[in-house]
Amino acid sequence: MFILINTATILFCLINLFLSRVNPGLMLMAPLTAVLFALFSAGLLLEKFGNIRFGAKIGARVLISAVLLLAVIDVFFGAINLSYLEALLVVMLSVSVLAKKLPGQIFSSLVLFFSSLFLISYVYGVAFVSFFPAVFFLFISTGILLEEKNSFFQLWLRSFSPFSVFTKWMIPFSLSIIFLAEFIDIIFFASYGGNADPKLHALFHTLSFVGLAFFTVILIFFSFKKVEDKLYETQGELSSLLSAIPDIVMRVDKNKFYVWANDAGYAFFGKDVIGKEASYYFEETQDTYDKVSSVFKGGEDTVYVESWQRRSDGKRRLLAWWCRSLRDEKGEIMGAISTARDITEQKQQQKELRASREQLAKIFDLSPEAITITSQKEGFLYNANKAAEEMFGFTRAEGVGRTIFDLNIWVDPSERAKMVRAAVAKKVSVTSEVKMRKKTGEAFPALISMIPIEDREEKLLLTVTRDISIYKKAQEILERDNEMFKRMVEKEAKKIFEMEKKLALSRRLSDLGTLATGIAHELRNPLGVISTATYNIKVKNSNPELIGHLQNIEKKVFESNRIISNLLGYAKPKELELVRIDISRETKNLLDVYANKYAEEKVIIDFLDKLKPETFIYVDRTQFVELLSNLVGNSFDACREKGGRILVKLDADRDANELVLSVEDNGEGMDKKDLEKAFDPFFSTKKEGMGLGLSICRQIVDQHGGKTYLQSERGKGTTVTVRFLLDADRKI
Amino acid sequence: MKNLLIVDDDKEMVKELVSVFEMEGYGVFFAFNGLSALERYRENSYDLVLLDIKMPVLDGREVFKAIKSKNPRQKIIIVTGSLGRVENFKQDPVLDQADGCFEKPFVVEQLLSRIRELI
Repeated sequence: MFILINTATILFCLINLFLSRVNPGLMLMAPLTAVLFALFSAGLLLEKFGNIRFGAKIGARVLISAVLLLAVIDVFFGAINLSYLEALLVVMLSVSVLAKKLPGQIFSSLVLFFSSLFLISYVYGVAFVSFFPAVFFLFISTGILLEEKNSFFQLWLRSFSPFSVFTKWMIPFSLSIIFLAEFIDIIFFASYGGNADPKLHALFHTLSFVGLAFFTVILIFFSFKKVEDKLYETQGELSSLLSAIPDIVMRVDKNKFYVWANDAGYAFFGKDVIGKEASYYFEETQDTYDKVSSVFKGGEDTVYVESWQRRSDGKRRLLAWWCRSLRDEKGEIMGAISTARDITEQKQQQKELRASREQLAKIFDLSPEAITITSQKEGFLYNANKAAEEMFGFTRAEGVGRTIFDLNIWVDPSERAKMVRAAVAKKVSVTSEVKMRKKTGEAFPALISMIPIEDREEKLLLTVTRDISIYKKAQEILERDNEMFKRMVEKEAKKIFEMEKKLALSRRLSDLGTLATGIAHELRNPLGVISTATYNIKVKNSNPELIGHLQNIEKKVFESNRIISNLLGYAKPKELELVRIDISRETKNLLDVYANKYAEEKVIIDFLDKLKPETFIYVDRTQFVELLSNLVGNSFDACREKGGRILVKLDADRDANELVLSVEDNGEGMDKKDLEKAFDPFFSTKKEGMGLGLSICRQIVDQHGGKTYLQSERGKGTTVTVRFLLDADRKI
Repeated sequence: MKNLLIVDDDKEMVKELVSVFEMEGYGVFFAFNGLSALERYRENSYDLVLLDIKMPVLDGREVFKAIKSKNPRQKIIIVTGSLGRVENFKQDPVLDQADGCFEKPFVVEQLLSRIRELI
């Protein structure tokens, strides 16, 4: 409409100029006026659709300013043959175009009003201005007002509703005026018959015109209003929609100058963003223009580009842009519409996320524990770390994508199922000791910990495996050692038990010894009485037959006393009284006594001395005599019945530095059973004696720090060997 | 006539010894315990005392000390059955001073010869 009106104005002006040249009589308006209007309309068109980049807007302003200047000159000097009122209107119009905002609207409205007034006055016959300029002014003002969005005129138009009372009245009212004016005119002229006053005729016609004008205006208004409403609604919706979008929405023209922004866009770039080139906000040099070039070359695709841009507060922010070309109704590219989102934080988070993921991956890989991530149920291997690779012998590439059942690393897969069930049910980690298998087939004991992890939709399982074969081995060793230790302890305990037994025995023996000592002492008193009494009888007796009997009593009394002495000697070991003796001589002297005594019984004593002459040892002489007497006496008892032989040997073991004394007989000997008990006190195979002989011998030898050995064979004889330390300086 | 005091709690022993010494011509006195032995000792003087060690009321060792304190030159022979070996006497600081020790059963002749040596 705007274009139509203005183009019509220019056309009309040109026709006017042409006519004024061809036929001055037909001139409709002054040529200068026509030039002004042509210039004016051209300026408006240029302003509206001209390219900002090429300074069209500036050109438009120059043109309209020229109109203004000429009109002002005319008002003051009347030089250009423009009527005063006309010039005033042109001034107001020009100002309204230049000012554009509220004052512009007021001016435009005033122009419209006065134009209408001119028109009416012309029809009415009071034509102080030409008809055509009035029409032009009307057209132009309307065009301007319509173009201005939310102008007073528009608001005024919008206040009408097709159903409002006022609007309802307008059409019948205007039609009624036309009808009434024409009707009165016709009636009036008809009744006067052609002699009517032409002024009255003109009045009625004018009224009719006014009604027609009203009617036309209203019709035009309705057609406008509908389109406008629709447009307004669409635009309103669209703009509120775009405003409501939290993302930035920007429109650029072909030359990438911002021509429109939504609220978010203004908030980001600032209120003054319109008219600025996009690159004005770029931070650092960037290739964003290259990337979006396809949009401006007619590409249909939405182009995505990320770009660092300066926000209104001066901070640099990263914007993600989606750009799409914008075409006019003819399909020509008129620019681009872009939405943008501030992704600075998001990017930062992504970066951090990536970093933490990388960290996790590193931890995962560097962990000395074997970690695998599998699906819970099927056991699909998603990931495995290096430790797991090493433990199971599969590379990650080999394993990932296969199931762990396929890999056959569980010796008993049912154990896994059991653990998974427990872990999933409790949502905590579950640990258990199981058998696992390597790629080589080698099974090993492992400690497995499982924890379910839910990654988006997938139900995964984190499994940590620890090879505990070493611990197991250690445990086995420990157990074995334990066993060994136990056995050792048992053995020791047995030993202790044996010792306890021996101790108990010796205690018993000691008690027995104490008892025996007491008894022995008590026995000596009656023995003393018996022997003394026997003496008295012997002295007083004159019967020689009794002498033999009395001698027997005396003999047996002293034999009894010897037994008592032995018993006392064993039971109460004496302190040693060591003296240095020539062992060979001492032995020989003693054996000589026994040799004589035993000769009567036909027992021979041989003495074999292998010692160097004058070999000395330290012994308790009394005890040594007792020892030898006992040994020889035992041998004698063993072999006397068969006229036996006793061999006493003296030798030295130089290596051990020991004196070796052995007493050997060819008597009845002992069997193994007796041999074991031979040293026990009160054990005897003899008919007489207390069985203390060998015990006393060993006690004496032990006290001297020596050793006693017994060899015997039933029927062949017995050898007792005694070893003393030979060291001459030795003091025990 | 030389007097002997026999001290022993064994009455049979005392009787037999009395018999032995009377035959030898000694004047024999006796006591059956340490306390009466000291009473006998106060009543009379003796050339020799035969003393048993283990006795009720007052034992031989106490009697020995009492006599020696009264008369250090009193000759005393120990005749005992209850002190183990003869060697033990030597280790006894009291009895070591005795003029002889005889362990029951002793050889009567040996005892007599020892007494003859002393008195």
